[in-house]
Amino acid sequence: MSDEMDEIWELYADDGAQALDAMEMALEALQAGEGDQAEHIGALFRAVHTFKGNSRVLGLSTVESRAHLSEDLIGLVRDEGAELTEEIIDVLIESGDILRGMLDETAVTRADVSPEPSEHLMDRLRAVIAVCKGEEPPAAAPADSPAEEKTEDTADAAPETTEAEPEAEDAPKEAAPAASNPADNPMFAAMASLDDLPDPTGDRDDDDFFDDDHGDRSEEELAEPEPEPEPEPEPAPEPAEAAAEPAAEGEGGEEAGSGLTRLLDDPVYLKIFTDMVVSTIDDLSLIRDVADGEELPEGAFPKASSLCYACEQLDLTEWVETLQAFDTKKSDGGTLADLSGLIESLQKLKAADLGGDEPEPEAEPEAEAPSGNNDTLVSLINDLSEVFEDLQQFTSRMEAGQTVEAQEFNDLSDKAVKVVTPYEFIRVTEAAMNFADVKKLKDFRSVELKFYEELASVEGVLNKGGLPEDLVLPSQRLKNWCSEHIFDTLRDLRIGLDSQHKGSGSTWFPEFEQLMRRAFNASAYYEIETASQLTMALVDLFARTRVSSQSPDVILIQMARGFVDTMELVFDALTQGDTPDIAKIEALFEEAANVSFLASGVVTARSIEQKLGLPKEFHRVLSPESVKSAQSCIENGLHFFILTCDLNEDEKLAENFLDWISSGKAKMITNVTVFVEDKTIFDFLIAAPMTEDIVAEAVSHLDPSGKKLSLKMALQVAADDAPVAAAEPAASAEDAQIFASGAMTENLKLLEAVGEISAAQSMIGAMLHKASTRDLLYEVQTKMAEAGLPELPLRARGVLRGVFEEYLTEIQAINEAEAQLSSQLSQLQEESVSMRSRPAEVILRPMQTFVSTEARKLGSSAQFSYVGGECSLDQLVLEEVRGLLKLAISDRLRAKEPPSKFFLAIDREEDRVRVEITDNGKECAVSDDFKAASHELTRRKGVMRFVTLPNGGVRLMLEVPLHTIVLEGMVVKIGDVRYVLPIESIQRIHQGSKTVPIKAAGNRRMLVVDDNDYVPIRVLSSARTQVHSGGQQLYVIVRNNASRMAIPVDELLGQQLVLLRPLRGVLSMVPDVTGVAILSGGEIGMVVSVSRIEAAA
Amino acid sequence: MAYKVMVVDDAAMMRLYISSFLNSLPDFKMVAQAANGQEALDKLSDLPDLDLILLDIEMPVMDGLEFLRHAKLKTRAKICMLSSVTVSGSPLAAKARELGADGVVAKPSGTVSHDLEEKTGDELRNVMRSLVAA
Repeated sequence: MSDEMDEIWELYADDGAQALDAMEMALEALQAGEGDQAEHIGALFRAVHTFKGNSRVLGLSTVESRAHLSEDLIGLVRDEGAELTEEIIDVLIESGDILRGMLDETAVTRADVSPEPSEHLMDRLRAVIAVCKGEEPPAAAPADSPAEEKTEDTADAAPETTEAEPEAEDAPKEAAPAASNPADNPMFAAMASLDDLPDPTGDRDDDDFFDDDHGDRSEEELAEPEPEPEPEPEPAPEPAEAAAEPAAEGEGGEEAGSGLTRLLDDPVYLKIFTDMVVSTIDDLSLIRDVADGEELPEGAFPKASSLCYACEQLDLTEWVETLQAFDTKKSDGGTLADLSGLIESLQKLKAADLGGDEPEPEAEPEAEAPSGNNDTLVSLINDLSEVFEDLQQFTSRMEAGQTVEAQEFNDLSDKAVKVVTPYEFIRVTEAAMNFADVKKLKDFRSVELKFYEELASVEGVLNKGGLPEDLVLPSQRLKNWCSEHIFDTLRDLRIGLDSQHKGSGSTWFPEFEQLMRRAFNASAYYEIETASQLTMALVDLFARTRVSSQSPDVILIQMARGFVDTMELVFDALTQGDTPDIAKIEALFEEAANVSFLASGVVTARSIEQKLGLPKEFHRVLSPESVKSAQSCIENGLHFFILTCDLNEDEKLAENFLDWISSGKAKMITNVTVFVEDKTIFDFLIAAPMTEDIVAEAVSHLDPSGKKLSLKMALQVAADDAPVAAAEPAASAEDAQIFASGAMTENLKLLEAVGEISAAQSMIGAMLHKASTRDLLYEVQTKMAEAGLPELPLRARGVLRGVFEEYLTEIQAINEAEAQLSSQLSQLQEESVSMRSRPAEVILRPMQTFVSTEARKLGSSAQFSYVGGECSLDQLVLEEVRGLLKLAISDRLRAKEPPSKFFLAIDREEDRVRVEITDNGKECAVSDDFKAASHELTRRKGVMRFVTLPNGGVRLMLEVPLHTIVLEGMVVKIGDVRYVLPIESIQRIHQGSKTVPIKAAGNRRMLVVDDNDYVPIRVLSSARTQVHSGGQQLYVIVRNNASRMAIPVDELLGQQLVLLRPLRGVLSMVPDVTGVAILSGGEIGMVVSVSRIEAAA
Repeated sequence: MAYKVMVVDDAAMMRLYISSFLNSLPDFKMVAQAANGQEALDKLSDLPDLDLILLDIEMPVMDGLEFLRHAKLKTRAKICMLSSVTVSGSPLAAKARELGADGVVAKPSGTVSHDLEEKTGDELRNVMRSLVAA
């Protein structure tokens, strides 16, 4: 409807512009005295008449009244023999200008214009008309509103009609303007074609139904005199003809009642008026919805007034009375309730007079939907009994390998649609339609289950209990089917999860969701509520990756695999009649609820709740963003407060309050809805640097009454720095291996590819830099001299210099572009690494459950706590560490005297992750698996061994080399070899010669940096350099933990982001070095491990 | 042609923020708003060509989940939950999926999230576009 109205308004603008152009052209011709004057006057009349009619259709009463009076004036010239004077042409030119301005305005505002600015035109037109009639010019009329004009018109209608519409009695038919035929009016023609409505050029001149003017009436109607709404203060009374008017109307052969009733019988005008009504109701509803407070918005009156005018034209008395009653609220001081009342009244009138938007379908008597929820549901299910039988039969046949013909599916679809359509459950009908598209068994199952799901949704709303016991509900059919096929479903899920070629979520997700919904219904069949919730939680988590068209995160894949494994065990137990262990499902559900927090690198909501002592209602609204924000505020020492605010009641206060918490004076962490009886109140958790009294003062400034905004409480941040894990509940103990994850290995390949591109790019950069610094002229001259050629003449050198400089300028431009590209690549590289990183929390928290579960299985009990959960590590490393930890802990738990407590500390060094687990058990023999893993790790320069502590207990020392590291390094040259020193470990660069031997350190030399500042000198084992005794030497002073070292180097080559590759095979024996990297010049750089140098020292 | 959207949220300020966000998107237009599920349900019959509903959960009179149950029987419009209690993987997000929500997005900073566009704008826009395109 809105689109159609858009088109109508566009047509009004186009058609109106054309009409006014025609008016202008005719007036110019008349003014110049060119051509056939009568023809120009006819064209002028038609143009103004068309414009007037269109304006009336759209309810633009002011515009229409100005055009109308202009038309009357032209009519006097055309039909009454009034002389066309300069005064008349002049006033019509002015009228044309004013009407054009009105057209421009209304085309934009889609509302009538204000009458006041054009009142002088009306006065002038009335005066000229009076002169033409030989009357006294009327006194200037007050600035009446269109409504007032109309009232006046009605009073004076009879006498005015006879004056203004002589052709009503005697004008020949051919005098009617050509534009009077709707087919010639693009606006009406387009409306008819747009809406696929009957041709408005039917048996009658439709334009007349809205434009009841004399100029374009059909032959029959020309016999009817009708009121002409012209505001004439002192009309010449012609009682005889005036008295004849009602009789004429009756004699005109109209049907009983108002002739305007017939107007609404016409589909074109019914459509136009209906659209206008719907549009007005929509506009008024929107005005009401966005209104501030209870005051009646001014904007509602013009909308109502426009519609009122149209209703007056249609003689819809009840509508007019309703709208006029509303108009009185303008002066009476109405409220928003009056507007609601008007909207409701208009809706009722619309329903009564205009009917529904679409004709009601003629439902067959037997297909009528009953009323009442349970009755409806029972009736629907019973009506579908044949469809259910067909579905069962089709299933049996297809599973037996028999063919079900396409026509049979079509028939089934038709049958189901016929049954469900009268119930008007849109989605059930659509699901029924889908049977017609079924081609194979797999499609059939999907469509069948979708059909049952939609029916189950209906059941969910309508089922109020107390249904017949023998009634098989759709939800029961759905659950039965899903429980019978649960192992197939889980198998399909596993295949999907194991697929290495899942592609983006948009292609893979729909099938995953369908399978998970089956698992959901199977869980519901067995009434395992947590499993049902978990399936939908996983659907939600996967759905969110779908939007970003990414493959599901490796953590999600792992969780889903854990789900499949667990559910297989659970359903297996259920089918065997055993009681399943659902603790693991509960742990997975907990993990699902927290995964978004962990993936964001923050602790869970619960830890923040505990730390702040938050009221429990905040639990449900804490998002990763708000937890991160709260964490940051805790670290910055801010104070936390809860403010209660009644935002909905006072918009100004709400704005001021939200401005205050957005201004930086306080920081909003989150807020939650609190329902107090039927009111909605909001509790805001904020953090601020100020103390409680200052916050209270600020709050009282915002709301001095204290009724709508108040400080509810000040929170105390718990000083307890105990590891977060200690406060966390047990989590999952999933065993899924994720090394084989396609997403993870693909990510790694991508990262490596980015690293190689970055290195190659750096090499190109270095070559370009070298090329841009060449002195080509010098090189040419040198080469020529070497070849014994004579020196170039001065002029030739000048020419060559110009060419070379141009060339070098281009090279430099390329060099600059390369530098920009290089910077972007570095950023991409960093982001790639960041995307792969996760906090160690993701493996440590579930380890708690693993420890307690494993211990329980072995008949003991054990607790696990940790520090360092925030340590960010590559996913691949995390997975490796997880596997090794489980292996080691399993060994420890199998000791004769197993530990009851484990404490883990994890930390990352530049090239490795270091983990220590200390327990209170006795030493034990390690398993073969442990030995194999330890051997493999040692080969890769890692560490994995148990150490017995002198005071009892055992410590696992675990060091796992990082697989891929991007680090920012300082490239230095020592001898002919390039080394990369991690920037984060460099403390300073020093050049000096002052060194002293330290006897206590075996006469090792110390670099004297400042007075009393000595740094031990460490020469890289693999470097062929010696400290220059007595001469100036360049040192890079590096720091590792608390100790420092001064590494002598020959040259500093610059800073660079490098992708470190671990040394393999024999190269792994190179001391002090952790790996190699391709440098910007294409050379290989040895990446120095500061921790190893220190360890070697 | 802009997709027609109804916003259902009991917080007037939040409706303003969402409206402002929708105004920044040329392909979406807010055609109606409601302060609770019942009000929204009443309006549905007058909005047969509605394309999308952005739906809060915690509301008085009728909450978002109850509205979701009923609306699924009455409208083809896609329904996207936009609530502070629908953090990904949370129980209420799972419940919304179970009842057939087509999309679920979490408000970033609670019931009244003044930073909706800044923090969740991209996600919400992507979800809305993917839903109406489906």
